[in-house]
Amino acid sequence: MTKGEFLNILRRGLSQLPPEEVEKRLAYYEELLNDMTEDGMTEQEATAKLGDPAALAREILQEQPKCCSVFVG
Amino acid sequence: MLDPQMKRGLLETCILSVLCRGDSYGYQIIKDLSSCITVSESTLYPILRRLETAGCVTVYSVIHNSRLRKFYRITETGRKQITEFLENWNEIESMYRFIEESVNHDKG
Repeated sequence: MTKGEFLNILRRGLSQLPPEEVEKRLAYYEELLNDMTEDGMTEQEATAKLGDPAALAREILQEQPKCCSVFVG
Repeated sequence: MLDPQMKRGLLETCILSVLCRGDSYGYQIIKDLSSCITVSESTLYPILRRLETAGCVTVYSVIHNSRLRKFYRITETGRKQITEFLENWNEIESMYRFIEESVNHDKG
């Protein structure tokens, strides 16, 4: 998928988190994707390397302290 | 499989060691570590955040190709964590030898 698609899916998956948290995570992954493509990977390769963004979002939500878990499906 | 908490502590110290050589950013840190261990991008993020909260690193942004790149710099606290790890290593190594000898003795 494209960088934009990846980040959009990730953003949607993290929507339950505080906005500041979401922005920090997205900035981190966006930076990584940009570094990977600058390093010669295609957007497909870079997003594939990071894995499924929906699954990544779920993983991130799991790591959150218990106060957030009441919103997790 | 290595105990998760132990592995996390070791990873933290590895990441701090990379920063001993110079300030660095996410992608470069992963690349530099890859000769020793594979750290996934999702594993690195919480470790960097934890190191920042603990005062082991400071963070600043640099403009690179019209985007912001976050750089991490090790602090004195971070350097102390590395020193402590190295000092503790001798103790860990003696325990390893003790355990290994006990197992071999048991076989004999």
